[in-house]
Amino acid sequence: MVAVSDSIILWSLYGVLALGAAGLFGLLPGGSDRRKWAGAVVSLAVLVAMIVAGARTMDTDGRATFYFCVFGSLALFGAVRVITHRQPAYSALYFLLVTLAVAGLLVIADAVYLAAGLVIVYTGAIFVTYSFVILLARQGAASPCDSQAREPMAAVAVAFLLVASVASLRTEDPAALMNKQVAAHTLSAAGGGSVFAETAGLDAGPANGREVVKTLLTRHAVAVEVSGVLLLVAMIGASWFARRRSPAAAEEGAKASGRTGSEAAPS
Amino acid sequence: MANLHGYLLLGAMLFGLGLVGFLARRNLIVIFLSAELMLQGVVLNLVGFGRFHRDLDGQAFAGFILVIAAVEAGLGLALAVLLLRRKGTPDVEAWRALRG
Repeated sequence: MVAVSDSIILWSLYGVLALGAAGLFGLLPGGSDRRKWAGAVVSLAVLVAMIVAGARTMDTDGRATFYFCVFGSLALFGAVRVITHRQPAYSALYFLLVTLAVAGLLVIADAVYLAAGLVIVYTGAIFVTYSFVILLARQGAASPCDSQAREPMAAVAVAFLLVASVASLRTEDPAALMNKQVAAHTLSAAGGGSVFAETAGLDAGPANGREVVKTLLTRHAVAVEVSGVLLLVAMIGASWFARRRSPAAAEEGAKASGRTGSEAAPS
Repeated sequence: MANLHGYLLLGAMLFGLGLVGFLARRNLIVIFLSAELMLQGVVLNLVGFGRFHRDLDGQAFAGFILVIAAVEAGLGLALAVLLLRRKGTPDVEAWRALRG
């Protein structure tokens, strides 16, 4: 690929990302209906453009590209809805969609064990916890904090800068980016087209779980233990935060706040 | 597109969308959902790089990301419950008084 077409690709990528940012700005809560619809149309157009661009760069494995486009667009659509929906319950449901789409993407990348773990942890534990809290937080009418975004322009601008700077790596030579030997080997195996070659050395399927666990328990054994301690500390911290004070303590706290006219201090 | 660049770009976009939600939304529950979105972007990055390097360290690290996500959800939602109980609203602006 010559340098000129590379820079054209890069600038069109920046353009598409900027359009997406503008669409996202329109979709964030707080704008008029017209802004919302304009944002929806622009965002949809950007999503379609990305799918088309992704599908055009067919590499050696066309099926993987197809599924990558399907799951990738699902993940992006879900993510946009998570942050733009005005009801937190729907945000959580769209977050579930993102999780399933990301699990699909992990399966394409031969991370079968991790995909299963992602679905189990996110849908089994995290989503259920979120649902409980959303039920707890539900008030009759929509909360005003859900219909107004805070500084949407600045937030979108920051995210655009971040994504555009990552996207600028798109045209850099992968060999310069990372370990030269590995990159050269991979590129030659793929005939120079795809960065991912055939996955020799990476076990997909049932063996993947065994290999990942072996890696975890041999090379990262200390980290596994530390993450166990982290989970324990988080459990203690969460129960400390969310504990309900006994009625006597609450009464005392209310008295104290009555005297000082401020919030009762946590006992 | 199902190559390293695709995974990096998609991961960055998920991270960026999560960042927008984290900065722009005012509901504490949605803010924590956005943080989880960012973590999913990181998982995609790690798995993409792991596959590129043909070893399983990327997947092992992504497993640790799952642990972080669980910890973050537990602590974050405990904070959300605390905010709801104290102020009766999930709006983070209710904690403006903490601003220096």
